[in-house]
Amino acid sequence: MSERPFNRNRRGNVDDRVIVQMFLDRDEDAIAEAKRRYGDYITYIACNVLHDRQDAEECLNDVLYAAWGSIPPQEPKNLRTYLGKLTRETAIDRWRKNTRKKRIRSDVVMSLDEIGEIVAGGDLDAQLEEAELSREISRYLRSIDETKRDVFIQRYWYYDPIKNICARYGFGKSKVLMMLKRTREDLAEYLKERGFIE
Amino acid sequence: MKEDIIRRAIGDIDDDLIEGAKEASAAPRKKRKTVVLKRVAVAALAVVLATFGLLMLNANVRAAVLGVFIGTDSEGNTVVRFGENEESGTTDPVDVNDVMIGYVPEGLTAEEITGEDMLNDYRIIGMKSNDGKYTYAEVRIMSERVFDTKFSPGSFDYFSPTTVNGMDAFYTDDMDFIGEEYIASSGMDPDFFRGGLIIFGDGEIIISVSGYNISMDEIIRIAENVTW
Repeated sequence: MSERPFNRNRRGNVDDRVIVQMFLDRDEDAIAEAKRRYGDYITYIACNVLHDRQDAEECLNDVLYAAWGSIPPQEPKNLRTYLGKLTRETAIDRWRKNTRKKRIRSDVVMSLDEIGEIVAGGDLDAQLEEAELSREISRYLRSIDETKRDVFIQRYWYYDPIKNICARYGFGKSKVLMMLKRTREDLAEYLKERGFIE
Repeated sequence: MKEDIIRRAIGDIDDDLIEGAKEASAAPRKKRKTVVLKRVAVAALAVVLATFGLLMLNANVRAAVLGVFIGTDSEGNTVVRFGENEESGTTDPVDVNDVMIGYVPEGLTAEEITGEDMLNDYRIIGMKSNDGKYTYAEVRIMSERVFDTKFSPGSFDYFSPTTVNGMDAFYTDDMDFIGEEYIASSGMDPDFFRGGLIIFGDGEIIISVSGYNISMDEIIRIAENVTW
C-alpha cells in the first residue's frame, strides 16, 4: 500500500487529478481508486449495453485494464468521461462477441441501428478525421434544445433504454422516439451541409 | 463501417455535454415530483370547485358572485359561465351571427364551419393554414342563453385568469388537442398538437379562441379582435 497522503474531498473520494497522477506514476493503487470512485458509473453504462451483471463486471475490469494501458500517454482532464468512453467501446466489443454467440439484446441493436440512420443516406467523407466529426457533432448538440440534447446523449452515449428515458422525463414513448428521430435527421442534415456526409 | 465511425464520433463528444446529460438524468426526478404535486393540486382544485359549484346552485349565492365561474358538471366536462344573471335575457339579446372576426393570422384562411345541426346560438369559425401545414385556430361563438361553455375533461392542466377587452377571461397555453392515438398515427411531432385556449364573455355571449401550432400571442390577438 502506497504511503502517499491522499487528498480526499468531503465524500472521502480521492481527487481525479490525484488518481490520474497515480496512473502516470504507474502506482497500482490508481486502479483501486478508480474502481472505488467510478466502478458504479462504469457498471451502469456497461449494463445498459450488456444487460448482464456478470458481463458488466468483467467489462469493468477490462476498462480499468485499458485505462492502465492508456494513461500515459493519455492524460485525461475529466477521468469520469474518459472511463465512460472506454466503457462504451469495451462494452460494445463484448456485446458484439456475445451477439455472435447469439446472446442478442434488442435494445442495443435498436440504438446502434438508429445511430446508423444518421449516415444511411450517404457516405462519410473519405478524408474525414473522427476527431473533427466529434467536434462538429458537439457543435450541433450545443445548438439544440437542452432536453433534446440530453435525451440524445442519454440514448446514444449512455445507451439508456427508451423506457428509462420516458420515466425520467415523464414523456410518452412516442414522444421520445419522435424526438430522437428528429434529432438524428437534423444532425444528418447538419453534417451534410458541412460536407461530412456526401 | 460508417456506422462505427459515427458511433465512435458520438462517443468522443465534449466532456461537458456528457456530464450535463448525466446530471439531467438525475434532475428530472424533481420534475416527476412536481408533476405529481401539480396533479394533486389540480385534483384538490377540482374538489374545491365542485364544492363551490354546489354552493352556486343556490340562487342567492349565484347572484352574489361577480364575473366568471368555472367548474365541472355531472359528466366531468369543464364548464365556464360568465356574467351569471338571474334575470337572463335582455331586451335586445346579441345574435351570434352579429359577432365579427376582426383578425385572421397571416397564412391562415377563416371559414364558417358551423354544422347544420347547430342551433342559431352557436357558430364555429375555423382558421386553416394556406400552405397545408398543421396550424389551426378556431373561434367558437356561443349564446349563454342556450349554452354553458363545456370542454372535454382531461385536456387542461390549468386555467389562468386574465381579461380580454375588459371582460373576464380564462386561458391556458398548454392544452392537448388531439389524443395520443391520433398523434401516433399522424407521424407528427406530438408538440404540434399542444396549443392554447382563451375563453371570455360578457354574460350574453361566450367566445372561445383556441389553436395549436400557433402562438398564444396570436390566439390572444384573435380574441381581442372579436367584436359585437
